[in-house]
Amino acid sequence: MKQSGVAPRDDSPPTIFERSRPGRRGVEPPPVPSGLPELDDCLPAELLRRDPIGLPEVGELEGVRHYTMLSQRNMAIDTNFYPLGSCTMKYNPRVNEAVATLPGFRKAHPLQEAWEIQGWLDVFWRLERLLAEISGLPHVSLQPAAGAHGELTALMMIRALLEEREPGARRVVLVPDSAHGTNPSSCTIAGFSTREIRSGKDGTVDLEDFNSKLGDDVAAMMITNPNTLGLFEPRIGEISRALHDAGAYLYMDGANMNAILGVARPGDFGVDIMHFNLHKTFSTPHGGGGPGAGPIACVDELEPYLPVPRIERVAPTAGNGASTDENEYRLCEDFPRSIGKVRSYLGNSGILLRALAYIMAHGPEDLRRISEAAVLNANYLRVRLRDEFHLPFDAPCMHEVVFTARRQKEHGVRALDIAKRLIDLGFHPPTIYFPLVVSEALMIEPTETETLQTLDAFCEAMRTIAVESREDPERLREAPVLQPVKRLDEVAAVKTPILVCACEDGRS
Amino acid sequence: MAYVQHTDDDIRAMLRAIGVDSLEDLFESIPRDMRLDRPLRVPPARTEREILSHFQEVASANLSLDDVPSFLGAGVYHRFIPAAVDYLASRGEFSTAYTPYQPEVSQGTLQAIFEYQTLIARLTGMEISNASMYEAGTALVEATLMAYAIHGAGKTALISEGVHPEYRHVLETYFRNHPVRVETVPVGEDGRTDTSALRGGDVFAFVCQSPSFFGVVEDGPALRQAADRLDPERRPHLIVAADPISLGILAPPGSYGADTVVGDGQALGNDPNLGGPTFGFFATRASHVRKIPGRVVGETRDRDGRRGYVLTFQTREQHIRRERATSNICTNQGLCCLRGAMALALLGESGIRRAAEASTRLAHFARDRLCELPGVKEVFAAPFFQEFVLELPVPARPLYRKLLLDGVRGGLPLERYFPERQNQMMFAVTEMTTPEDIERLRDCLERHLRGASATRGSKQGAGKRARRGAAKKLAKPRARKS
Repeated sequence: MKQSGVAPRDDSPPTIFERSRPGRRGVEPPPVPSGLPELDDCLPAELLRRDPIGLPEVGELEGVRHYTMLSQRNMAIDTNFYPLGSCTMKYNPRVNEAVATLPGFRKAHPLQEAWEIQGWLDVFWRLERLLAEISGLPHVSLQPAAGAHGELTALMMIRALLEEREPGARRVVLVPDSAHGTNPSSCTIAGFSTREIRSGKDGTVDLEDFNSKLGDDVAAMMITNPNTLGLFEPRIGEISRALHDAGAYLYMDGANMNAILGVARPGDFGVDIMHFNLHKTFSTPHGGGGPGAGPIACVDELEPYLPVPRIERVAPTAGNGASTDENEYRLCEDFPRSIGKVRSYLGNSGILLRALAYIMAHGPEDLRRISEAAVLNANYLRVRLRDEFHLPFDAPCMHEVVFTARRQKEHGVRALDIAKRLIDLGFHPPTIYFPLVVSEALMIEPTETETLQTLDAFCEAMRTIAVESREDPERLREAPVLQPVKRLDEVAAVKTPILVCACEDGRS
Repeated sequence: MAYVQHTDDDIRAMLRAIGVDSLEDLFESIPRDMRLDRPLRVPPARTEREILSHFQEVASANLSLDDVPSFLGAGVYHRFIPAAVDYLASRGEFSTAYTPYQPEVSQGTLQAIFEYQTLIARLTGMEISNASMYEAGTALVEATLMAYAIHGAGKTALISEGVHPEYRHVLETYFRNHPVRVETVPVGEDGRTDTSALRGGDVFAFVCQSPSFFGVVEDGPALRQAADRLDPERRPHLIVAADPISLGILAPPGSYGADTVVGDGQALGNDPNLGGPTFGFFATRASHVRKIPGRVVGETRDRDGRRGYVLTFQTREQHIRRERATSNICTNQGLCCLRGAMALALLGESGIRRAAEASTRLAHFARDRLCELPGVKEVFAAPFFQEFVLELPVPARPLYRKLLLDGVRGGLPLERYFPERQNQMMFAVTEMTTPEDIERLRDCLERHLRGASATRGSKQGAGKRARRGAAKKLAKPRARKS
């Protein structure tokens, strides 16, 4: 990616700072009433800011145009098929947004007394019960703010239990080489070291390697099931028994729960503790990178260590659940063996609420149909594309399928080039170069909400790319050409970091 | 089928293409004895209309901040949010996109984050910012972990008692399994951190909050000097948690030598939402860029020389560095920090200053009016921004309930975090508070304090009944005059 000799073009859209002009007013907050003490009488001068902050000065229309323009420079589920593997980019139903923006929810304060927020506590309690039933694990905490946060919380709980039982003895967590990067890094933050388990020839955990690495220093194993190759770990029962016999615990990364709703439950196949990604499985908007929520569910043995606060139901529900006549629920912090708080206040409530609304739109059959359709769609893509793209593990998959660019690489075309060309053909690219155990990986997760027509159009685009890789590989290496920007120089971004805008007041 | 769009014909055609007979066959790879042999025990599916009416009823069981004037703060505030923020942030192009791994189709999100980083850096007086974190408590943990990694020598983090008790609790949870020792530095009588109490030779970080949990504005330069005195050569990191609106008028921590500034972004364009989701902001020195946790966006050029933005310094992150990553954070709080950027941009220089000024002047007015009441006195003498603690002649928690029944939500009974502060209540005032709200609070307070001495203890039994009635009455949406 040569940069030299190319004169910078100036047709890129302005930043909000470049739109700014001194003295222009934006949206005005309520005026300062008269008759109040003067600022100088409130705070001594040495505590006050001396210079301008450097915030933009733009009118409301200019601001609205700015952000509308930015929104149009994004691809999203609402605009395009988005088969980003491992991220479960399913449709985000709008009724959930309508629910989450009800003033009774959004305008509540976390330090109100429990009797003032019984509606919120009812939401939490119901969601906890539903997640317990879906996972087959009886105890739930809604506190973690994201999947990685759920992993960390669970590891802290395992550690707290083991420190009571055999202090200092178990400091190793087994992690398959196909795991998400958050797994090993969560281990480090929780004070464990990791020992990697090899994937076998079939893409699942190599049992021999697992057995050889399971010792009396092992605290737990983290497993993703179905794994990141989209394959169900068929020997998970054996793995769980071996861990338990060795005095260790089985943690499941629930990123791929979308494949097994109502079909199989982690608690039934030997998992001790797991996290959910509500923004994946239960359709809460990904928001350009968050917020999500990562509730955890666990077996009885780990229950005392769950983070606080916890919800307790003290009176039965009267019919529809909306009860203000009794203090039906209360928040409890008095759990002496709890690991404590993992974030401030009560969790990512707004996300929890959306997930509950989503689950309620599904009865028992519908929840199962989510997974059936997700697995159907992934297998459909698998068989439609396997003639053109190499399948490293040619077996029926679950909710996602991993291809590689091996055949295209012979023509000098890499997974990255395929991803970039897909963009110009109107599709968000799949996840590329993950999982790490497969070189040139293309990880495709269609989700259950796409139509057959969309899947066919995607296959058509992929086949076009396969043909182009043989006949016109340069075209793929140049892609994309129809987007607001072409490929960006990521090396320069590190070499000469520009992490904040240097301009001020429209004078760049 | 809720949101699945397939027709029966579609499903048949797809099964045929795959070469299986039934949907059940797709799950052959799951051993039979691991499959669930019954339907999930969940309630029957509800229609969109049923979902809405169910949650409307549930929502009405919450008292909202809109129902009555409210003086509850302690880290989450009722603030002015430009109407445009809701409309713009709910555009599906923003809300249904994901982490901008593919920059060519994510320039909107990336540029918005780049601008957010700039806004936060300018507000805090720091050189760089990341793309946001979960919330303030975990941002404070990450700042401490980063300081530990950079400093390299010390094992002790000193944390002021003026830091929000929730954040301190989170810090304790994280460091329970860690070589780091966390020691609390008490606040002095005036409410500021007692820097004369600082001890320890192996300190790598001094963690403070300004305005503090108690609302007090710390003497920033004194904090820096106190940290330096501990170890003049390997200066401990000064980590400051700050309220973003306060920085509209207060000297930014960067101006007095803070190494990292964190805080909760709820006050910027986000509804209280029961405290989450919000976002944590994280700003630091440019020299720390290779150790900063979370996502970072940088400006670069495309092949034609056009300006564009990318996620950068990704080699720090967990998906590449795995067990050697200094943080396990994968996402940021994208949509919440987008709302924060929008609020900062739309309110602008003068709007943020005005919101900050209105808050502090109204708060001082409120303090003056309330302190006129007999038996009420201010607890801390140090300057404050928008929150202040009053000592009352009666326990604060029962009073909070009585005030609410009278139609005004008082401040936070400090007993919640400090059992010994039973008679203390902390009041928060923002630009949304009116002088009439303050007078109403004063009148109610006066009535109850007078009543307390006359009828103390006589209405115990009636309390609970009245409370239930109030919850019902107050829960009905009521237009608030402004």
